[in-house]
Amino acid sequence: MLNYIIMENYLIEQINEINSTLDNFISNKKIIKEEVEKVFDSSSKKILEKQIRTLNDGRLLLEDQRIIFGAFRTIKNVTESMHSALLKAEELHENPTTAEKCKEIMPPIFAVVNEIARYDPYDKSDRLENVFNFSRILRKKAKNMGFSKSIDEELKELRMEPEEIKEFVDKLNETIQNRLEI
Amino acid sequence: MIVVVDSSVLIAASILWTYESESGSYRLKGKAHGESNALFESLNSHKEITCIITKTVEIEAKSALEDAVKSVLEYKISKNTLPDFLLMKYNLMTLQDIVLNASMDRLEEIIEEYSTRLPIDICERDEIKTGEIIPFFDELIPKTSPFIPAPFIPRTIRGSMNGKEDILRSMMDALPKGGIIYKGYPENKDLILMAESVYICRNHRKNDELVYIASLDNNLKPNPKFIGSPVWPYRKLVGIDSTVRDMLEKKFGFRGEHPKQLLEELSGHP
Repeated sequence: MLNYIIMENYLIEQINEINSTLDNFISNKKIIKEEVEKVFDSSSKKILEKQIRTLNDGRLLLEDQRIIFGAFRTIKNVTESMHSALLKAEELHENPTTAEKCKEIMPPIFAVVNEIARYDPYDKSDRLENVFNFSRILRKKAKNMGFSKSIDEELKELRMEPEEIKEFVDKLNETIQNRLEI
Repeated sequence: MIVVVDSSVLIAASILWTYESESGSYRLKGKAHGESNALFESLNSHKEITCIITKTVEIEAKSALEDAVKSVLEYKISKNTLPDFLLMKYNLMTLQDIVLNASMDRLEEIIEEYSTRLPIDICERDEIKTGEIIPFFDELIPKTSPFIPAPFIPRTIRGSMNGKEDILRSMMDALPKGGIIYKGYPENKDLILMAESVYICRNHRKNDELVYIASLDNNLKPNPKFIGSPVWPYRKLVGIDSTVRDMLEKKFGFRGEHPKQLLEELSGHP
């Protein structure tokens, strides 16, 4: 079976690297800022790269791209929130508690990544429902543990003109209204 | 009292996304958001009322939200071409993800905060659907119409008529107001919700308490009575037809109601 992730890149290894870095911080009872910067910067770049590849992947339907892109985006937001929490840990005297909290988020991250890795874009019967569901679980858990971004922070990612945002929101409003016209 | 919430009300209450920035404010707000949200608030303040959102309704509401986002995305992407295609796609994907997740969060919050989930025997529910609800509609639907047909106006009169709206209106007023007005055969999701409500009436209702379905859908609540097709330019609303809703209540025990009417009922509830 074609394997979506392994075939194209190295994200699992990247997530494994974050995991083992956290293990080191916990066993040494110390968070090392330089290591945080190195591992998390590199993972952010790789996830972004993966997001862009997903959008460019001609094998995927738009709907599949949407779900996989969203899942990568959730992982990216969570790991970036972990990144800033780990950097602040020392001054907040939460060293290594923050690393332990981050470690708790790792299983749902692995669940999302593994679910994407299982996806075969050539198998038309394959469904991405689980990717979406696991990604929602990850988002929820991360939010409960304080590893989430505010809407303001999320919107900073956009390079859109206000008019374009308004157009999209208006169109979505109209579509939802039409669907509720029942 | 038990209130079973339909997916239309759950969606309407979930959709409220506002973002204020220096460059402007963006507002995504479901139709009937006000009354749907107020209904949940009111149900929450009446602790003796059981508010139920079944798993079927939750799944239906989530997929309806996803479908709406998906269709807008397809529309926007189909309208754009190179050179900035990838950047535009990235931005649209990000924006839809932000909005969809915010709406899903709100939807899940509503379910957690306001609703109870009672056990439903799926086999029994399906038996109710196929053995009772479907035969009921098979017999009823041929006797119903979604609207009162508009009068035919001969072309000779139509062409020369000035102020034809007045003439049409008086013709409409003269029409008989009879017949059962009903939207049409319910979708499978509505049949399932009805069967679940029947199951709740039979297995979870205490001392003949009232069981309501809160819905914006004309398959579940009383129907507006139009003369002329709802898409016809001179259609006229001549009242509300609750015949099918009342028949369902008499036969199965649940009463479909618009959130606004339900709110009025609740305001009189101690």
